[in-house]
Amino acid sequence: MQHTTHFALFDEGSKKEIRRAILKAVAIPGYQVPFASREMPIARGWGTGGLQITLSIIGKQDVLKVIDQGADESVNAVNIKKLVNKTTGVETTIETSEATIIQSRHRIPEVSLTEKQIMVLQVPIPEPLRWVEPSEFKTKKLHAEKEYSGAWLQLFEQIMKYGKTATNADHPVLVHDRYVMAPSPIPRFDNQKMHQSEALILLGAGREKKIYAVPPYTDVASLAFEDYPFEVESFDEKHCHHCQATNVFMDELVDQETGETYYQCNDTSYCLARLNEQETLLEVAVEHAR
Amino acid sequence: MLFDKVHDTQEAFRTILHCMSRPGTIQNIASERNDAEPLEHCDYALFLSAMTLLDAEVGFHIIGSNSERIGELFAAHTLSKATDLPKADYVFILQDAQPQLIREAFLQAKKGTLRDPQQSATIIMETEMLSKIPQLTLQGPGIATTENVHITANELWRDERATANQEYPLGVDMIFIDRQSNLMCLPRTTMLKECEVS
Repeated sequence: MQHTTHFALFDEGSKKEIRRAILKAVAIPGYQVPFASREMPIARGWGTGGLQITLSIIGKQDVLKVIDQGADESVNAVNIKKLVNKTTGVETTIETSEATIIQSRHRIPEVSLTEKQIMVLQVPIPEPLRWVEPSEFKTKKLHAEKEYSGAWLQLFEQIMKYGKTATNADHPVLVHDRYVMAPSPIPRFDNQKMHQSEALILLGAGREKKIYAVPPYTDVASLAFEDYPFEVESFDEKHCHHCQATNVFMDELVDQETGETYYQCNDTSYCLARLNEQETLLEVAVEHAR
Repeated sequence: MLFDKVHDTQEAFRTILHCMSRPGTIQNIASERNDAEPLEHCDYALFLSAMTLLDAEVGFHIIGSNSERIGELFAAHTLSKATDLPKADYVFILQDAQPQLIREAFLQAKKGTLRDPQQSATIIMETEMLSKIPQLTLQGPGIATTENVHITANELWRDERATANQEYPLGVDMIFIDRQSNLMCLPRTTMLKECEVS
């Protein structure tokens, strides 16, 4: 007898519970809604929060893209894609514009998202105040009272110590002028993509059992002081050594032989698309020359 | 009645999610199901939304003349239990609900607490018709500038909703379903005002 898994792996009860949490998260932007995180066939910390959201929202018509640190072909991304594909049969893609659901860890794609897409972000630590207050009981109270001195103080201490805010990623944001939220460990470069985004952004933390959301067209402001304005990673005068792109988030690499530093797009599918485009243009030009 | 518990509820959920994240957007919840045999006591769209949201972990309350029969139908299909208004997670207001009871529904429905604003009720309201004819102007998260909508129903809910939602993040979220299975949502963040006459 052939056994097949249920559509999208989850039983319907689990999906319903997660779906209800998602709707509440959308209705209260930036607020972390607790949910009964399920045991998953991948380890906690490997994207179970994002995966649970993806499996609960996905339908037969969807096209899924999964990225891990900007790459479509890393182990984590490939395995999540395989799991979802095997249990639902939905198509997967690396093309950002083709996807209806984009699950991601640490990046928001370079290509602008549209109203038809849902961005699902994997979150390790959803609580922006965790570094200053270890007790969940107390952080819930701080959120209730909109008491965010801790988050500000953390940034202030960094300025005192380093002369600037030193958050590499996960720079806290204020959503809809009410909740301070961890945007997940995306670089500061991507924080601005959350502000008035066209796509719905859902964030899931499996280990910490929280789901939260940024609805489209919602104000998302990165925390900053008047005299120390928010700054994103700068790639001025740098370009991708593959596709020559500028003004994108890049990885810094070192040539082992020459010791020279060079850069390349962090978003692999964006880089690939540009390379293909350039190739096509070149072929057309050669064709014309003939 | 043909009903696919897995895929129909998934599609319905995505419609609700799309509309909840974009207040003022009107989408049909049962468009693929025009062939569904009519249920005896309630519209298919209302039934489908109950199937999508309810299970044994939540309680519901129905206001309207046929509430008992519909309650039995929901309970039989979802294992959810009918509860008192102040405990209900989902409150269904049918079209023939008495004005006094609509008022009670908003007054007594759970608004959540500052610690747990998600422990609030969602009110699902049956209406005659939803359209984009300017009557109300909506503003808030999910809306680029403004959205205009027309909700043909007893207008009592507007004041009651405003009262219930006066202390954000506390409040109730609303789902409207009309006779043609069109659906529109008003999360607690959406601000309403009358359209200005131009």
